[in-house]
Amino acid sequence: MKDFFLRLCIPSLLFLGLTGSFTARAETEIQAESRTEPKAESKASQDTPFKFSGFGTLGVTYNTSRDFDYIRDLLQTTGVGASRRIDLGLDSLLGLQLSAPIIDNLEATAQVVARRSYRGFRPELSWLFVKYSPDDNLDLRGGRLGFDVYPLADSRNVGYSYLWVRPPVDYFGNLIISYIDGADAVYKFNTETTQTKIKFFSGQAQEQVLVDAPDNFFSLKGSRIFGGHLEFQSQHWLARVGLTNLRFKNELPSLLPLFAALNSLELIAINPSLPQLAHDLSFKEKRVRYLSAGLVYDQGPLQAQLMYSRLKSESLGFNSNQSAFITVGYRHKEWTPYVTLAKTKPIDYRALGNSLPSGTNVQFDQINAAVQSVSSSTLSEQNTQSLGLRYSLSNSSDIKVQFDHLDVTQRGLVRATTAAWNGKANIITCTFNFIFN
Amino acid sequence: MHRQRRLIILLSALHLVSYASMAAAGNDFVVITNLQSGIEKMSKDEVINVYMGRNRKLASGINAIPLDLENPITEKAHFYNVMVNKELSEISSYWARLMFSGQGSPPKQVANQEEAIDIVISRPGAIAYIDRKKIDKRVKIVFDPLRS
Repeated sequence: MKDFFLRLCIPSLLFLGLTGSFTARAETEIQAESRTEPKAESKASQDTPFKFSGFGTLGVTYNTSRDFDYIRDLLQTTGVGASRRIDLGLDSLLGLQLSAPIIDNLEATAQVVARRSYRGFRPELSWLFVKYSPDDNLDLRGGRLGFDVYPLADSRNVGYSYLWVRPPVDYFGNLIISYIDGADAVYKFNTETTQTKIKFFSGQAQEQVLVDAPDNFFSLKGSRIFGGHLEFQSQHWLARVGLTNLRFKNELPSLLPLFAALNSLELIAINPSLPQLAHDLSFKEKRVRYLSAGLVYDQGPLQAQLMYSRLKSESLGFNSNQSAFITVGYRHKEWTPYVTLAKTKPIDYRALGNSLPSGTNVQFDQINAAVQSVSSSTLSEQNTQSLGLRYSLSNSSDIKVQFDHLDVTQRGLVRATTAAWNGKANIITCTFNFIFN
Repeated sequence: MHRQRRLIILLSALHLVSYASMAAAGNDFVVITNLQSGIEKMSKDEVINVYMGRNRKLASGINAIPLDLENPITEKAHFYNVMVNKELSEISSYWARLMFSGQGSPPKQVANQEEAIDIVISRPGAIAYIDRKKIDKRVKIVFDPLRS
């Protein structure tokens, strides 16, 4: 616990010190909020322009099956089901955000989120950036930025900001990047009734994905990523189209022995296409392209979203897929029932487990199995039907209950599966969500 | 049968009462700006765009400073109900999404109508929704929901 607070407080203190030395006494506009409730001792004075805010979720989840772990996204290595029947950690999280104007048009923001990921339940710096707005139509940011390839993707930790207990796993779960270190630029163009935004970003990814239990990780650290999107918004509609390009910097270390084998002279003699196979399976320098499109309709009590995304990968070790979901919610007083249908399936997948004659040689069989395993390590195909109810407790908190029926054909988005599992399960979740500022 | 009929009448009466009290919950408001704001009239969409953070400037080019009333909260609820047919919790949710993705922050929350009027008088870009009975010549009415 002490460790947790230290990890949270030290970056916060550093941040306060840094911006404190730049901030003048003068308020910017009428942004002065004196409600800075510091977690640690703060040098900020009574009338500070710092904005301290936060969000959190307390969730409990139950999986009717014990044969697999249901997870929220690929950044989680354990979940609910096999590892625990009832899980308090799947969706529970706490986020703290500090934002401060430095000088006119320049603002700094930091956000720390503690949630379960591949590092266990630990706080992680999700953002730390400086935003410069030279004029009203242009925002330039640099630092650690949220990755918002999809509408809502960069606020998917903020349970209070959407209807569901968690963003549809079939769609958002495949995202292996939640932030990038780099820069982005947003240009806005307004007419009387519409707003159009164009965004470009470029940077490096930093996170890791579990490829094989228990600790075979693929590291994205240093991988270049750039892209952009075009967004159009009117009174009731929002439409967005985006493209992202990622180039893997690193190889998956556990593949090196396999590649050595596939490039060995004895095996090439049996199947001369093995070196090409090794090349196709490798990650290093391979590119992944995301195409995403989203449509949101929002009028009074009715809201609906439709999103589609397509991932094309140059590496056979990282599977291409397409995903989509549709969700509709209708509010009546404090209650908002909603329904979601979500699905993900592979593109261009071919089984590759027979590059060497099987059944004759133990080594051949091992290599075949390894090749098959790598080429399907991220292979996921599943669909989920969800029914949920959101109850608004106050203007800063809510409670939701959601029932998901899950049908899994390829197991890339779940963990710890047993062979006996039939791919079906029901997940029941209840979350309490809040924000403060 | 008799009891069912009574129950239906009771429920209908309760529903009517609650609806009536909801409708009367907010006073008639008008949207006001500073006399030097540079604009004469705003459309409903323009007011909504400023309050939802989609437009940071008024049509005259001045930075907009939208103000929300904290007290009485029924005024704020009535405003968003009339303008966008949304409950306050939905507005909170909307701002949570924007705030925590670094895309802006909600309107300044002001303690009461008197304070809101004071701010509108002193800042050219300030905009607020105020009970029409409290308006005087020191501010300019730019939007009247009963007239659009």
